[in-house]
Formats: sequence, C-alpha cells, structure tokens
Amino acid sequence: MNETALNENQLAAKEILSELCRKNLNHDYLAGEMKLFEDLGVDSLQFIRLILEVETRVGRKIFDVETIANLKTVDDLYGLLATV
Amino acid sequence: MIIDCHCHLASSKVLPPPFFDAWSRTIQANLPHGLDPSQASRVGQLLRDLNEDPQSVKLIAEMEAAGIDLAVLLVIDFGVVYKDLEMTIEELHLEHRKLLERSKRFIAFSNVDPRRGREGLELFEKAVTDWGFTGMKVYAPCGYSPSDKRMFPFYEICSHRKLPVLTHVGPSSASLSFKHTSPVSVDDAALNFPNVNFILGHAGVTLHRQAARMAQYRPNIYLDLSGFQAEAMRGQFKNILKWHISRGLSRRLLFGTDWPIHRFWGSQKRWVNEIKQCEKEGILSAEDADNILSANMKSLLGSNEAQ
Repeated sequence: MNETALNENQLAAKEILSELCRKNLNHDYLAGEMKLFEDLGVDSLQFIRLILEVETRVGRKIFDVETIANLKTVDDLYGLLATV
Repeated sequence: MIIDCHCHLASSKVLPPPFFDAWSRTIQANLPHGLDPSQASRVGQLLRDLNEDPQSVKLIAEMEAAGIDLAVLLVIDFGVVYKDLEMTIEELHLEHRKLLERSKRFIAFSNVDPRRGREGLELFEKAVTDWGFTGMKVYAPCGYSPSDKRMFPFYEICSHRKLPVLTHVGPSSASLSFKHTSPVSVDDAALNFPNVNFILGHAGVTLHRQAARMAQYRPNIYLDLSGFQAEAMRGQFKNILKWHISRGLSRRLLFGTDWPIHRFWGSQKRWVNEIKQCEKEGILSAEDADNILSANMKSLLGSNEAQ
C-alpha cells in the first residue's frame, strides 16, 4: 500500500505498530507486505496490545475473531482500516 | 484422512465463563503496561467471542477448508470446581451426543470428575457404552491427578473397551490448578494400565522434552501437538518437531488444534498447512506427516473409530 495514501486511522495503526516493534527492529519503516509475527517479531501479547490500541485510537470496535485470525501482514491491518 | 485429535465444542455450556475470565486476567497481568478498564473489558469480550460456535457451524466450515475429516471433541467436567454452570455433566454429554448424531465428522471423549464417585463412574460407562463416546478425557487442572487411584476404575473400562485416554498437560486457566499437569503425573496410570493408550494433551510442545522422555520409554504414551500454534508463531515449532523426529517419535505424535482456544492465531487450514510445510521442507518425511495427521490417531481409535 502506498505510504502517502494512508488514511488517518492507518497512520495511527502504523504509529502504534512502530512503537510496539521498537524493541524488535532498528528501523521505523514498515513495508505493507511485512508479516507481523515472522518479519516484525510481534509476539502474542504485543499482538493483543496492537488490537486494543488501534481500537482505542479509532474509537470503535474493528476486530472480531475472524479478522484477527486473518491478520498476518501490515497491509492486512491497513486493509481493515481502509474504510473505517 | 486428517484427524484433529483435540477440539472442544465452542460454547459457554462447555467452556464456561470463569475459564475465560481468569485467562483474561492472566493476559492483562502479563501485558507490560496496564490496560484501561475499557481495554480490559475488551480483552475479556474477545476471549469469550472465541467460544461462540454452539452448533459447530464455524468449526465444520474450517474443517472442510482444511481437509480435516474427523475431529475429536473433548468433554470437560468443570462441575466440581466451577459453580452455577449452565448444564449438568449428564446434560453436557447429551449435548455432545446430539452433535455426534448430526455429524459424522465428530467423535467425542467423555470426562467425568472422579470425585463424583460411583455415580460418575456409571455415567462414564453409559457414555462409552450407550451414547457413542469413544475415548476418555482427563482434565487434571480441575484438581486431580491422572494417576489418582480413583481414576483406576475408569481406566479398567478403557482397558476393557480399548479406549484411548487424553489427559491435559501444562498450565491452563488461572482459575484452575496446575499441580497435577506435568507429563510425569500420568506415569502411575500408564504403568498400571499398559493396555490403555494415554495421549498427553499439548505435550508435543508443552514441557515437550519431559513428555518425549515419557513417550520414548513408555510405549503406551502419545503426545498431542495442540497448542503448537503459539510455538509456530514464535518460530520454534519446526525445531521442536525436528527434536521429536530425531528421537524416533514419529509414531507417537498427533495433530491437534485445541479449537476454539487458538482461533486468534489462524484457521484450521493454516495449521494443517504448517505440518504439510514441514514435509515440503524435509523436516518430516511423507510417512511422518501421514503419521501425525492421520495414521497414529487412526490406530489409537482402532475399531472404535468413526470411519
């Protein structure tokens, strides 16, 4: 996904994810195709934190069991936030 | 044929709210920064949402997508440790029986807490004799050991009817006891009932070295891999699998997912593919993969197996 085309919620998600991954990565750049677990080293607790922080920032429920199960990459996350 | 040896009916009748509430408290306690009250409540809600498939519609759809032909539904008798449950233990068995009658995709293992005494034993016997249950579940986190002498009459029935026993290994909800959940807790039972096959639930990955030692030296001990999802996400699962295979345990490992507990981490299809990927990468031979996904459990179910 084009970085410049990110909407406000997607940018918020990127910021949250960057913050969570700071311990795992030495760079701030998050490519859309990056896998949350394998590439970014997100662990299960960070994953839960990500979901909670994104919903808090957006101000509504975004995720359910199925969307969480399908959340593999940064683009998956942006996709969920594309129309919110 | 692919068999998932470890599933539960996703319903508050089966996995009650206190189980999830304590799990939610554990997650909150382990998060490095605290949660505000609305986030804490949201964690609890998301966990309870895992458990919303009372007719197994989602489970069947996931099994179909994954090519899983048969799933073992495990009853857990929480009635002695949790109060105000929606169903009695007899009703819980009948709820599973309804599903068995409706779908050939499932078999079920009975579980009755041994502290229920003679009545409990009679219920177990009825379940495996009249209601089509084809194995026994032991849930040590409810506070009894799988080697408790009060379990032995149940194992006599399993021995006579050639039924496998699946016992939980490792931690569980924080509202329950972990005291009897080490792999070695099953040792007296396995020693005294050499004709009964004991499956150590989750022990393919949880306390796996200790569990593997048990399986290496006791031919009636098997290891189920359910819970491997978390290890797969941490990138550790393939190493664990290599370790088991190098110790000659290909014929003792069983594929399981512990549905609905790990649904957040992916679908049944993803986890079947994880095993197939291990075959593609040469970690498992074709025979190993078939053993894990199918042949080992098929052999344990023997003539009681739903074909």
